Amino acid sequence: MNRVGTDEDLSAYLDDDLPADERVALERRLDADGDLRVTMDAMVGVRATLSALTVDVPDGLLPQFRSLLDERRATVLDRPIQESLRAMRSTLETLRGRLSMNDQRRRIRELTEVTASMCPGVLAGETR
Amino acid sequence: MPSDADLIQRFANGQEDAFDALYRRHVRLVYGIAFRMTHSAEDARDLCQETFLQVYRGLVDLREPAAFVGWLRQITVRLCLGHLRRRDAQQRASDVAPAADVRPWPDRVAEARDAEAHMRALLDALPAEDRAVVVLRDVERLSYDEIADAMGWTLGKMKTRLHRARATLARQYRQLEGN
Repeated sequence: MNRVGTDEDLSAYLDDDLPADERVALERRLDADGDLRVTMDAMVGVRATLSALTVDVPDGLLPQFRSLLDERRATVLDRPIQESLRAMRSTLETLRGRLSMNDQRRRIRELTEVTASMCPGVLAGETR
Repeated sequence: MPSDADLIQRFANGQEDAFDALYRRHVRLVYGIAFRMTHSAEDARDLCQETFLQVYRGLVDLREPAAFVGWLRQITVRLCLGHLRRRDAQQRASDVAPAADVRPWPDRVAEARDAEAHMRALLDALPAEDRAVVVLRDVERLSYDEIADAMGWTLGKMKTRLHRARATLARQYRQLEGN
């Protein structure tokens, strides 16, 4: 087994994330290595101090949020409408594309008929 | 007490007060993360409100209401990191840091009067993402998986950053203790 005692090992130990054998090895080393013990204690101290950090949530956040929401309501509520409009536009484009394709087919058919009437036999194989 | 999923369903059915209930239930989580990452009451308030605005916009499309809290945390962390990155970039661009950050951390720490102020000064000296993982793990007590999810990182990357950030903090803490 590699020698345990890196910063990563100490941090993982703090989270109980070391495999059992490495945990035992690290605890032995902590007992024997004063400097490593000081570093471990510092990590524990940092975590304890962080855990104790307090945050006072200010009063009145919800009414402020509601005011902010009213200000931006147009943007917020417009979003679904904009999405619906985009979807409708996309559908129209698709329909337009299909109509255009039908127009093209009709035009090709007309041209084919004109060509067939002018040059009978040339397109006979294709138009049969 | 209705679950988050119940409240989301009610909100989706048009009951605005269900959103207020969600807000009240989770505002401490959101504001807490924002404050611990920015150490500014004003920034934390703005980030908190922006988070809930995004939640308001996206809530009816949330596919897994049971995953609401994780989603909320993700939005909060993403907005906080964006804010801190912009703040850092502005400081670098102007080459003049604001008063809170202009001094090297030992000077700031030396002037701090209590352990909380010391720790805030130490946290402020960390890169934004390192600060985030430490806050999420050691203050919010999230699991490794939850933190990796919130940060959008692999588990391995999250562990590496957490261990590195803790080691940095521990070294500075030792210096403090020595002083």
